Amino acid sequence: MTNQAGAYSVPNLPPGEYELSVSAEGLESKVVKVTVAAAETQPVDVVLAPGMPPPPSLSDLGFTRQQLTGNPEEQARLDRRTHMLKIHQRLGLFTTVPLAATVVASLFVGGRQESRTGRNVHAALGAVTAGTYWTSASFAIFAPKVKGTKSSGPIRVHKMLAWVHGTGMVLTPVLGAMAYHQLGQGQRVHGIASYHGAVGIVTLSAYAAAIMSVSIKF
Amino acid sequence: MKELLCVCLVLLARPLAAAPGAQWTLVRSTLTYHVSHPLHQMEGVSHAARGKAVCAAGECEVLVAVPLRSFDSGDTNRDLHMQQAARGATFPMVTVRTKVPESSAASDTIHADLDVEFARETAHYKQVPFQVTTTADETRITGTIPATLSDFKIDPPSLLTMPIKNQIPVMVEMT
Repeated sequence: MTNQAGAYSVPNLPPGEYELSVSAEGLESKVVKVTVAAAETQPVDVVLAPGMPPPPSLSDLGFTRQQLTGNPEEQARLDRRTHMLKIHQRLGLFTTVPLAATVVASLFVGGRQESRTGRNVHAALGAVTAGTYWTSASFAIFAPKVKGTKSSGPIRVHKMLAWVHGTGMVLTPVLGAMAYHQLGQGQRVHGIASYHGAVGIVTLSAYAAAIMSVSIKF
Repeated sequence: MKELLCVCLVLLARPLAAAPGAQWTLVRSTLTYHVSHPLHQMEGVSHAARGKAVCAAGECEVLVAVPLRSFDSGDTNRDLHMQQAARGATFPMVTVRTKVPESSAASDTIHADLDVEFARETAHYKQVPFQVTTTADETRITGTIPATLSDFKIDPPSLLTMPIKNQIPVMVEMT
């Protein structure tokens, strides 16, 4: 072991040939041969060349431990969230089919072409639409939330529109049922039930806009 | 008679000859990945990359790393979906390693062999060109890494049942 200045001594060595190995952190090690004679002091100076610095590592970059460490539970939550939102997306797209059919069937309700069959078909399609819609919505509503995430961008618009068409998907069937009842009684549709068509159109428009908001870049 | 003596030098003051090789530290960066979908194009940007280069014997070992969750595409849902698809919660960092000649700082273009670790997989990209602009007090490096989803065994995410393209080029600007 040397002192802080690098000086060393190895006293009382028997005469002979020796190998002196010198090493220090950050420097290249060196081995030199030394011949020690009897009753002599043999000075040996060794100069070490700079060693290869260690390659950079992630710990050199100053990231926090939290940033560098994986979280399997978080990944499982993300996987479940994505899975549920995929179902939400597919069911949401599927809902457009009965929704469009309901709109077409509405053309045969309440006008000159009014018939009981047309009214029943429209009501049945509306019920299917509401069923698939709320099933789809439940997958979005109950998908796991990710802590510390605040919605921004098109998904925020998508969620705001959901409040509109979600409300519409409650009101439209209720008003429709009232209108159905009134027509069945041989009455003209009156009162708040007369807003069934208008609310339906707003709901349809908000639903289409919600799909567009996450599909097309504006 | 041969004997081996081990003398360990313990020095508090490092001699000049032992000065380490030159080191470079990433000061600013912009990494942008580009995704193509039949309905639209989008980009995710991160300014959170950190990097370091250690040079010795005429060669620099470079490491650049960026947290996956630092990429912002302007839509939180899309970013979360990207993190899920790329297994970002389990493997939160993207790292790029390369070795370049120390003299390349004076060149206009560097061709680097990159090892990119992302989503647990490591992909190798040969001779990726980077443009180098050197001013009085900084060096700016720009280029594009021709990454693909399949390089990292990532299934292409889909929107409206249509998958995105396999190519996800990553534009790099580092200072």
